[in-house]
Amino acid sequence: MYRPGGYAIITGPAGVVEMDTFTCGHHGGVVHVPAGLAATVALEAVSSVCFMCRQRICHACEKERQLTARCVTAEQRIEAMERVVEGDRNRQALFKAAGIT
Amino acid sequence: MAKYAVLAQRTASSTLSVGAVTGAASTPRRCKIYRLEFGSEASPADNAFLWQVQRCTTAGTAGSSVTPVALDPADPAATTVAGQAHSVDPTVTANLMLLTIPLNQRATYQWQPAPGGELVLPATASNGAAIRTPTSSAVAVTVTCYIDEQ
Repeated sequence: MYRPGGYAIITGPAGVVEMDTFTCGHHGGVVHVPAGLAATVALEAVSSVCFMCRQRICHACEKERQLTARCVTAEQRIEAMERVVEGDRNRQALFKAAGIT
Repeated sequence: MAKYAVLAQRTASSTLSVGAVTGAASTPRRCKIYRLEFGSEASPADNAFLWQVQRCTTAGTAGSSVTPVALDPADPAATTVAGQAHSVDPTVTANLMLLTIPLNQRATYQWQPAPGGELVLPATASNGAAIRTPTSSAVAVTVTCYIDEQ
């Protein structure tokens, strides 16, 4: 794979299997690229490139992007998680200050 | 940015979680998982495992807490919290699977991302990643997780 995002090694009784990985630009998870195939074939089997953020994404995220026509990057998802909890904390502090529990 | 090693072990407990890495309750910081190693230290046998790293929103009830070990002894203690051998699984978020790999019990798995490809955990209390084996819980397994606290 051209410019892999990582590397995975499985060591077992049958030997060692090595494969490239990449981190999906949308959901932020690891995707394994099957070893032993031509680089371009293997990549197309497991990934696409989001035309909005230009990051490599997995098929599940590509389907979601096609359905919703939205590009939500992994960084945006993380920031959203942090905002939700921060909002909850502020709301709880407000309720506590107002004497509502 | 300080780097830590977290060694979590599950010795045939009844839950599916091997370990969890979550943000601290009071001052959570972002952390990045930059290396993972899975394996079983039990007597060799042909059991099938599906290993999963999944986002979680609670830390669950850990059988014991794990202190992340600073790779540089000069670094301060980690704020990120880790646990192992859960009696109550962390609450995992559906469809937010960060890594999934099926393995035989005899196999060991290592993953190392290129810079920028790390698994990012939010700076949110009790949010983080649960490392699980949802297909088998009765075999002793160990995971070593290296984290980079931001």
